[in-house]
Amino acid sequence: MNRFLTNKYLVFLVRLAIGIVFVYAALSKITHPDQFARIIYNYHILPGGVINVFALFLPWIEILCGFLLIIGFWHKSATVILGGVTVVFIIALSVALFRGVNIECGCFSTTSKAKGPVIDLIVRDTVMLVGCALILAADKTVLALDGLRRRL
Amino acid sequence: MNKTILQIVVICLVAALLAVGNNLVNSNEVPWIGNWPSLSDNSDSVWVSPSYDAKSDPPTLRLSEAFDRFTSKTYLFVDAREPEEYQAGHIKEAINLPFDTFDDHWTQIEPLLPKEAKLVTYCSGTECDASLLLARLLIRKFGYKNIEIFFGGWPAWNKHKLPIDGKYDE
Repeated sequence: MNRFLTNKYLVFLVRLAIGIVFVYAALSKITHPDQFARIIYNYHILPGGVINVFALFLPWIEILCGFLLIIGFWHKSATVILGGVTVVFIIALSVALFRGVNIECGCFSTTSKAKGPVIDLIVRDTVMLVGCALILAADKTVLALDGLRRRL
Repeated sequence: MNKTILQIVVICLVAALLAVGNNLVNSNEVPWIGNWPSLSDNSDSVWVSPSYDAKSDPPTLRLSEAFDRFTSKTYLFVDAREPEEYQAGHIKEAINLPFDTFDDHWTQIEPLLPKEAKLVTYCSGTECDASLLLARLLIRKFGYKNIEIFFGGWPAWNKHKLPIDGKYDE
């Protein structure tokens, strides 16, 4: 089972999937940091002074790490960061769930008013976190610049 | 391990540079330090009606205290505004008991408000006394004991985009 889960082709697919998800998730936030900041504010977790810093910085972390995962360059470091980001998301959503706040997730879009059940979002982020753990546990992957670098 | 930490630092620095650059050219730019209203220093939440008597009337709540009551899930919020206002938007899961037309609604609402329940009444903030008058009525005529008044009411709750049913006022 362990060998299957850390199979280099499976790890490649997981890497690709998580990379694409984070790149896609960042695009709307990068073009509309004002709206993303408002969504973060609505969680009522962060102090007002750091909300905009978070709204400006986080999407670039997402897109950069997502891109690094796709091309397989420094992909373990990028996975550590994205895993940490995902843990932050899970904590924020759990606080919202505990408070009974039906927030706009701000996960993939800053303009959609769609509000899914918070528990579904937590489950989805937990799956992503498991994916990050798989990448970190695996020794090998394919189609990665990290591997090419080692061979050169 | 050291290599990983170094790479993480470099990634974060590059992301920070990109964020700074993007915010310089983005038409939707935002200031780095935002001026978001805080729940605890909201001026609306400290206003009380001129007819409020601190000695005989129920205690009042600031916005941050009302939000704490809300998140504890052990309080019932009672909206004393008219049904049209309530339907447009109200504090999430609040019960509508309009003070001005109290008699028309009381028999319907009474089963939802057990005598031992902890209640928070609110209305339209600085523009109304209905939350105070409703609280007095429930205490003096119907024997409720655990009532607090949130004078900031709907405007303060709406301003901070706290959880609601319906729509926020623009």
